[in-house]
Amino acid sequence: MSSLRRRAPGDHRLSLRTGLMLVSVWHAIGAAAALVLVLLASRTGEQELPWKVSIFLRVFGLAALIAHVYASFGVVRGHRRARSVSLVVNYLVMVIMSVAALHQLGAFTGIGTLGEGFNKAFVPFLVVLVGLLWVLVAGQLLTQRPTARGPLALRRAGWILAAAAGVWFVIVADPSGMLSAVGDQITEPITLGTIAVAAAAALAMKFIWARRVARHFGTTSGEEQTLSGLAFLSPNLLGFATFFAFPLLLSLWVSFYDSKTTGTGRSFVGLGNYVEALSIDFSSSSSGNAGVEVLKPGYQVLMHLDWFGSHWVLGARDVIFWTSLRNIMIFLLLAVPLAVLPALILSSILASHLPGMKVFRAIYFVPSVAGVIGVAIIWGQMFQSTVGWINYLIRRAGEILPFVDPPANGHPWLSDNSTALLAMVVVFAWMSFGFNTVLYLAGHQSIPKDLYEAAEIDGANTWQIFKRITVPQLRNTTFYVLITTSILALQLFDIVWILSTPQPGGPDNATMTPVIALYNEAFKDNRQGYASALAWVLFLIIFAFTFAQFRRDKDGATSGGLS
Amino acid sequence: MHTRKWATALIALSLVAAACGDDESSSETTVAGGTETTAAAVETTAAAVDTTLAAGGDGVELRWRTRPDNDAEAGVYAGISDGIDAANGDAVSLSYEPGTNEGSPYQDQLVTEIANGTAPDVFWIPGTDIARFQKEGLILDLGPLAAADGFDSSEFYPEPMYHLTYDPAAGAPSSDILWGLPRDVSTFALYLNNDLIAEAGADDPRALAAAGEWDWAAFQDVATKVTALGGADKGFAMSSWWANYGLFMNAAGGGFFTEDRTACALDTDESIAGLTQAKAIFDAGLAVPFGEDGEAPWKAGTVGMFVNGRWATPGARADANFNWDVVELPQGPGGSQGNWLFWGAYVVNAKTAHPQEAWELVQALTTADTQAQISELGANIPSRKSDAAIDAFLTFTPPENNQAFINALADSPTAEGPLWAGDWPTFDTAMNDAVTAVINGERTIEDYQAKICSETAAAFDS
Repeated sequence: MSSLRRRAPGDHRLSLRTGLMLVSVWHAIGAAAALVLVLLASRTGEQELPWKVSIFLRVFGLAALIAHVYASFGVVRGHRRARSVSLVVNYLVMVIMSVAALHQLGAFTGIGTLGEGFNKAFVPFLVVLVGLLWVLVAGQLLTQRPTARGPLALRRAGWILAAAAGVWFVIVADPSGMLSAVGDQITEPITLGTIAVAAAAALAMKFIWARRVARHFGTTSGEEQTLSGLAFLSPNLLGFATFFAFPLLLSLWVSFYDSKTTGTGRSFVGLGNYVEALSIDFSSSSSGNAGVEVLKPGYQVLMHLDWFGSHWVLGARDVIFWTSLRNIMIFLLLAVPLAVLPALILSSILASHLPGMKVFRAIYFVPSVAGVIGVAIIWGQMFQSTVGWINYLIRRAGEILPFVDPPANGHPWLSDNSTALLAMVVVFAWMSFGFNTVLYLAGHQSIPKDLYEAAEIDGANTWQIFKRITVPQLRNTTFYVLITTSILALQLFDIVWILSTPQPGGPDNATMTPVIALYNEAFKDNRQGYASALAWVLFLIIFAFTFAQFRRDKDGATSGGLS
Repeated sequence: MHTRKWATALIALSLVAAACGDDESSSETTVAGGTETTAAAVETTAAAVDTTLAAGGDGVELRWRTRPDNDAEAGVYAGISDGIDAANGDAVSLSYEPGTNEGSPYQDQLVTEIANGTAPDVFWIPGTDIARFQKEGLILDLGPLAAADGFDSSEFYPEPMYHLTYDPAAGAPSSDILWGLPRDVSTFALYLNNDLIAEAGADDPRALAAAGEWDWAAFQDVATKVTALGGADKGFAMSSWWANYGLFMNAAGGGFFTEDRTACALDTDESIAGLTQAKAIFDAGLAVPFGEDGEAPWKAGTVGMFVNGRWATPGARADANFNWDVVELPQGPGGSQGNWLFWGAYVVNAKTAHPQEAWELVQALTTADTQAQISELGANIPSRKSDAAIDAFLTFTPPENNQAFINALADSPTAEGPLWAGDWPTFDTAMNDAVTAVINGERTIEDYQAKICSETAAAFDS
């Protein structure tokens, strides 16, 4: 307790005891505020909040209440963990209140205005950049020749140019409106209050972070490092928790409810949504055209099967979802090999040191960076039956090659049930294989060159080298490529959404995917609870698929490539 | 070094602050991406509109949204918003939010925002969604406010007003109910490639229509002659959207629903006759295959006649490099074109904090003046039976034969309507799958007639 000793003359720092008392009171106020938040979020009647917002605020408020109460008692009693809790809580309060203050000042809605302002005053903005560039270049020159007069003059000219252009920029862009709006808003009590809370939290954090306070709490160096690490990770962690982890958990919660997307009603159904999604019925039939009459009530025909002379009817409660599962499995089997095998072969060619290979590497990567919507629209035009390029080329081939017999009207690739999914496979593979090629190219870099040299000395031919050295050495890369491509394939949405109009997933559900099915459930049928359940079923399928791949790859993994 | 760092930081801060600009530039941001025409339209419109929200409170902020078809239209809406805003001084502050363009999930975004309490006070939705939004309690009944104002809705086309005054409890329209006011209306027409039709030696459909000889037989004759040109040329194209095959059913005297719209009528002889006619066109190879995009080949100059609404006109003006025009749909055996009256309406968010001001905004957005300004862009037909607004619409050329759209309004079109007695998306999905199977030859029309109404039964309330 040496840190509690009397202060030296001239030491204006807050005494430790007083500081800790103030922090404790601050947390007590925070606990009260958290309690008020929980109560406000629990209101019913006309002031009732949307239930998801209410749940979020209640969970958040409750966690804040517990943390504040613990910190309030802990800091005065010297609990070692109370310092960490206080730091985390104050940090979060500071971040949240800062974001709230920026929101009240219109900083986020002003981003669009920001772009417009730069657009209006683009020329002076460029001149500012030129001036700053001169300063930068002069600085570089001065490091080599510190006494040279030329760079000094260039730097001075750069500053003058940047300053003059800055004034020009300000005149053209005219910030008076924004400054006036900020001035008006910053005097609002709520804005001032928000800024004050953020500042108070920052001060409390600064005090608690101090080394003498750490010594008082007996904080270990390990805890210090953990806190520092968390501080550096916090931007990502906060984003992850806010935009990924919380929605994920919320969707799990929602999946146990018969909940409407419009937020206008819900009731707890337990596993009911999952049961509805996964229920199937299998019944024999004397007729090949048997329908729902041979199935349990509530089931619809999914498919007819003829096994060993017997007719069977497979039914499901949610035929659309099961159809989407069937489609996505077919898609997976076709699209993944098409997106991976050409990439493997192409990367082996591009890895060579032939002239111009760098250009080709860039060209093959282009589909991966192109916008999926634009790509899908262009492919849609290419697949068009009468004026599309694909049918045109087939017709031309028919004129030249006697064994090609093109259909008279051009094949409707996207509106024919039998080819619509195949068209999606082509677009997906085309978009994916460029990126996979780049991954394989990275894998090629890590293959020891002496392996190839030894093989050549031993007289191995190109195919043998590819089969015995390249492919095994790229095993880890192949594993990674297979996993990521498969996950992308199982989550197929955007390509189908654009290419299958007017009803995404058509024609006749031939391109229906699980993600489109759950989207339709959520937004067309207003069943957010059921859609959430479908999302979790899809998640479990992807998880099981990935887990199986990991288990399969666990043994025999070799070095080299991406791990 | 510290001085330089501070100087650099100061310059950067000044640039950002200056770039944020003033408040006035924010309304321009909403139409960012628009052309010069857009900016001009904004100025023109802002000057022209003089609408005050009489009951506007002090400092009321209202947000409103509609789905424009293009940037130019977004610019006009922004200008209208600015005009109304300016006319109301500090009493009411309007913020216009252009929704996503045609084909995007505009309603899906809206539903999400409504659920989370962030939707605008006033928004536009397609006519088919009125019932869905009303059943979920998402839109406000404006009836009491309209009654208090003595509002007269008789100037609007009666077909949309039937649905906008529908009382679900009574199963009929009521003078006490008002779900919103229609923004605009549209009808179908046949977009013609006159060059291709002339090259095929077929009669000019416009001349046939003027002579009263434009019927299904004449239509099929033109389509046959254009298709006979060979290659990729086709006589006709339409998308697989419900309205396209629906017009054949309507023209044959059938339709989707019974007269009271409480049950399926897809299996009536008249509806089957219409579907049979549509199928015959595709079976004969006279059309771009069903389900394929028809607009692209028409713009490419390989289709003689392409059916679409007024909203396709700006695209035709931009992309069709041939002599083109429009003509009304041919008369079917039912005695009419079988046309649709498409519409959408401004409605008020049920959770708005300012219902009175929101209602007045809905009125301001549907005045004859406002509609005339939007009509000048050519993509929308006014929803009021106003001669001035229609005259403004007719001045937009090409197409020369704008009157074809107006003629359709006088031909008893079937209003695109919500399914008050059921769920339209469910009905649409089931119907579309079945019709697609029939036209593509995967299902017999007899089987369709026998089962279609049981297949769509799930869409109707029990």
